[in-house]
Amino acid sequence: MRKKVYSKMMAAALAAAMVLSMAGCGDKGGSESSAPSGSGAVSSETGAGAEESKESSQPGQDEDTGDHEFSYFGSIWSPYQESTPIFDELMERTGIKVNFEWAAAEGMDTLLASKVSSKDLPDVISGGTAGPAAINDLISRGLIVPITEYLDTDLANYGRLLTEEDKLFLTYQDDGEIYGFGLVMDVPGSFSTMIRTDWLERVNMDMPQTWDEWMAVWKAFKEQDANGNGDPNDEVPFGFNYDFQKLVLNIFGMNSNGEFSVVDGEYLYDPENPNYEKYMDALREMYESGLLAQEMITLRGADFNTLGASNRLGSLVGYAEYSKNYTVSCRELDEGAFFQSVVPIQGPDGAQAIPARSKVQGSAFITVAAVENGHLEDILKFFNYVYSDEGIELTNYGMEGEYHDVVDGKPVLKAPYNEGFKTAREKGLIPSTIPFCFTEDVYMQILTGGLNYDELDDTGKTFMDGLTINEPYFYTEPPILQTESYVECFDLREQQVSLRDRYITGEISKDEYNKGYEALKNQGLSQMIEDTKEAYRKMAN
Amino acid sequence: MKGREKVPRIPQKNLWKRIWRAKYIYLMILPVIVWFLLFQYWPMTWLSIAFFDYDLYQGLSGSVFVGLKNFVKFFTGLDFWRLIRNVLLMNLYALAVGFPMPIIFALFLNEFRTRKVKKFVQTVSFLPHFISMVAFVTIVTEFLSPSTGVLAQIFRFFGKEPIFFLGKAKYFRSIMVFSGVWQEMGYSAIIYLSALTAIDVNLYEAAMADGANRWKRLIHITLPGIMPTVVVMFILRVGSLINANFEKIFLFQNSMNLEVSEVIQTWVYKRGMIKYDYSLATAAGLFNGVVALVLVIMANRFSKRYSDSAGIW
Amino acid sequence: MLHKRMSRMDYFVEAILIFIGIIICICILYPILNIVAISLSADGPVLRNEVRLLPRGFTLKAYEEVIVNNGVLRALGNSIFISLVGCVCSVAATYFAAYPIACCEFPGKKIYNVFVLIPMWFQGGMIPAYICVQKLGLINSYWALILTALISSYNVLILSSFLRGIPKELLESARMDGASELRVMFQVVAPLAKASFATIALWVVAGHWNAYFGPLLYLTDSSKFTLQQVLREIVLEANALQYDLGTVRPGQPSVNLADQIRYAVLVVSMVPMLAVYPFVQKYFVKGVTLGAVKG
Repeated sequence: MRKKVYSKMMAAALAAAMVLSMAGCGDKGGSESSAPSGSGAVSSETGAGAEESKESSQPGQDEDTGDHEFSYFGSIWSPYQESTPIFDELMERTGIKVNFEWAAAEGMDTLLASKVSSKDLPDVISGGTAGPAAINDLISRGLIVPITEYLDTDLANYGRLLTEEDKLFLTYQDDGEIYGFGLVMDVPGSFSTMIRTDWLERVNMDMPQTWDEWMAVWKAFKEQDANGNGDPNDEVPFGFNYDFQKLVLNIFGMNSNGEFSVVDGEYLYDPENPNYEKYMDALREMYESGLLAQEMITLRGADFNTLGASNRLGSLVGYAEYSKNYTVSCRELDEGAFFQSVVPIQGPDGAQAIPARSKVQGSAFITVAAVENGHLEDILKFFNYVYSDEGIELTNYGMEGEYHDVVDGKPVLKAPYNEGFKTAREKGLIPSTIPFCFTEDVYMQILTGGLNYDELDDTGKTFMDGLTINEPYFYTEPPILQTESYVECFDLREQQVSLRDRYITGEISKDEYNKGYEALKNQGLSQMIEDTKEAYRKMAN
Repeated sequence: MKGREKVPRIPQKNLWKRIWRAKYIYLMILPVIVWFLLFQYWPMTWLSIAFFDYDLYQGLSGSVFVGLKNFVKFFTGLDFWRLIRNVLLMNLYALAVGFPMPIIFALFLNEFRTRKVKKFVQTVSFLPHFISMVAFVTIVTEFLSPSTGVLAQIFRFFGKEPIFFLGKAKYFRSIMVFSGVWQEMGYSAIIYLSALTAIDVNLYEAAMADGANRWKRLIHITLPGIMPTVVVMFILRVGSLINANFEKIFLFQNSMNLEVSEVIQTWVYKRGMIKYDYSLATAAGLFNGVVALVLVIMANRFSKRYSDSAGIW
Repeated sequence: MLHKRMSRMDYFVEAILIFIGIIICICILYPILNIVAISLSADGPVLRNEVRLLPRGFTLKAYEEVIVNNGVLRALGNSIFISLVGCVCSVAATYFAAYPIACCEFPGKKIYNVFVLIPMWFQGGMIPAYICVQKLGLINSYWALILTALISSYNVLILSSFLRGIPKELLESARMDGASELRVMFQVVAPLAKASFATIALWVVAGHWNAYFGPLLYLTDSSKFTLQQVLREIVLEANALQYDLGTVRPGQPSVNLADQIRYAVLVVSMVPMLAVYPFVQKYFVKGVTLGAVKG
């Protein structure tokens, strides 16, 4: 009896599922031509919301509300939220409704491509902290509106924040126009060099300054049991995150963005730089004598953090906050552990530099759809407000009484917003997912939580040092010029990196590297090198 | 298909009648056909973009027909022979090592007299098959890590400097193959185990009566008994020679092993999904598909020749 | 197998076999147990690289962190949803596809059969499949994953060869009694095919649960990510945008527990499959056998 019931239920379930799945399939199949509507729940939600507001505003014939709106397609990442009271307030104050649609950074490009190909272009596209990868394609197709002329007019509040140098940085297309706008950061640089001072003591050496002194210290770290755990072989004297090669390139006089640097006013692909060989040789030597981590080429993200926390790393270049984080972690194993932030390593030729935090970023773009839909004016008005003094106060400090109090005429964040960047961002402050201006004051308020330098413990102090002592050594990274051949050569560039890494780790000889690199140049890399030079020349003039 | 009875030829007149009688069956397979058309056959038609310079924003109608240009570009590119070499070497290595291991393992399990132990070992050996590739790659990376890995510990125990296996191109294929053995050995052994149970017990009895020892029984009865299965499996394996384990290779790829780890599928992925060169990527994908098809057809021929019963389709 | 009394030689061989068996089990289990042990250990032993098979300084903190983490829980839910719905749909669809091949006679059956089996040997490949999913408006929808994997020709082949083994008389007598085809399908045949349903269900669930590439291609909204995607993200800490989160004040979180959390997520992602499969093991042994030699 039970068996029968069971089989009946199963049959019903199967049939239902079949019908359901087929219905879904057929439905999707049918709507093939009207694809725009089908790109995800978020869009349909916001889309529906927009229509609703449109409809409700129409009967009233109210001139100033409702009709002002635009769509914004942006990248989002933790801890930012899809909607916050700050966004609501911005919309309220400007009277312009923004229909946000968010995507994770990794999926951004595929989603964007499918939007474009189904003729569903959003009014504003934002890649978060940088432009979406496909943006150059869109610009070359004439789908993005240049904003150069608005910098003095409709976007004057944004324009006032830019120096000539910033404008140059934002002009990375060869037509000399500025297309992107975005985050303006007025906060201290984020990278620093740091070294285990307790290890220095243990191996009886002074704080290194010159390249030779650094080499001597690294060798001492390697040869002696610097971390005192009884194993003289587990120390890694120097480390850096594999994704931040630029932090090492600059030791050898290449003030690079990781791939390119400007030498004598000329934009040069790093492997073409006369100093590149010196960099590779030095790293090869260091790798061979065990001064770098054996698994150097996989040290990124979490793996790098694990190394930093494991009490095996003697010195590094990386985010200044590592000095605090790793000190705290290493103290689990060694109470005396301390990463002191220090000025940049002096290279063999005396170069001493570290990249500054880039002040401006072209991450948001206005599309031709905005012009067609008549939303351009609203977009400019909205963002011009975001960059106005009022707007800056709102995005940085939130609404008075709720997020901050005014003390001595200055906004001061209230708890819990001043307790950490994560909390502040979760609650809508400093919203890097849209273009805005991030002020030093709010950065410091959250960073210090109201404490001054002397009130900090040593871990806080070293972090703070990392932010401040590098000031004289900052250089501005050149932009990455996204010429057509640059994009086309992505695989050749990838192979150049592979050659470089195999040379540094001793897998191939100098001859093999040169031969391989020549082959890549013949395949098209030469073309890219020339193209990017030309593009920079045009831009700089 | 085998086992289907031949329907006697029926005059045309009855055809419509029979079709009408089967109307509910057609109704039943209709959604299935729709699904196959939408998700299997429609994509095949999109292979045509290999012959166009496909414009992402304009669609096929706005794209320029370029004939075989993409194929020429793919075949003459710097990468082509490297890709072919990598795919072939990787698969031949996997065939040489990965293929015999499950057979040996099945024979090993078969020798157990204690059923509980056999069952336990078998259950454990299945386990890695159900681990996702992402988890698998993490586990292998941790295992091979020169600083924290188990292997490094063993090296140190014997006073040797640990090797950074994942950072050396020469070890890449071995890592792929042996980690593959770890993951799939137990699962792949199932088929041989069931072939083993089908061997006539009387053969063993007779051999034992003749005084054949265990080894002799293994060589003269067990091995010949599973040989047909082995041959069929071997041919199947050859048929999939060009299809590298894409997900795994992709997740293990790094700048040090790029030279040996780039295979057609990873190349297609990068060209297509990262650089949006759909046409070139599809041309390469089409090449891959055609070679796979030819291999499968050849494999099927051979398997039919080997035994009349074991055609793959 | 052979119920003969064992000789001394046999005992000796058996001892060696068991020894080798234990070594194999250790080789297979060790890397997994090591991960589990690390996920349950305290910071000190992990950073000192002392954890082997057993947790040192046992703590569940990493799991607490994982549970608190919205992303992981949401991804777990997403994965469960995709796996279960995908499983039910796939089994049903496979049954609908395979049943007519095995149990019915109708004009055009041969063509239908070939039609269903061709994709086993030749497919459009990654890019064309992606374009189609995009044209269907399924990007960023779970249905992209469920529908693209709905039917596999291989599974149809296996199920239909199993169904063919069901005595035809059973079907005929039911049809004689005037039962409709659907009735025959669900009340007569389906109960007999439970084992093969279970096999296919397991394959589909495992496929969906462990899939990484499909979700990577088709899901773009982070709130829709599956557990494997989140796992990959956590393993790599791929999101380079996540800096500037620390402050200089004392007592802020550091990078502690990082390894444990990575591995805890890994364990969470493994456990459901590893817990399910022993129960269905006897079914899929049958299924694999059936599929490979094709009865």
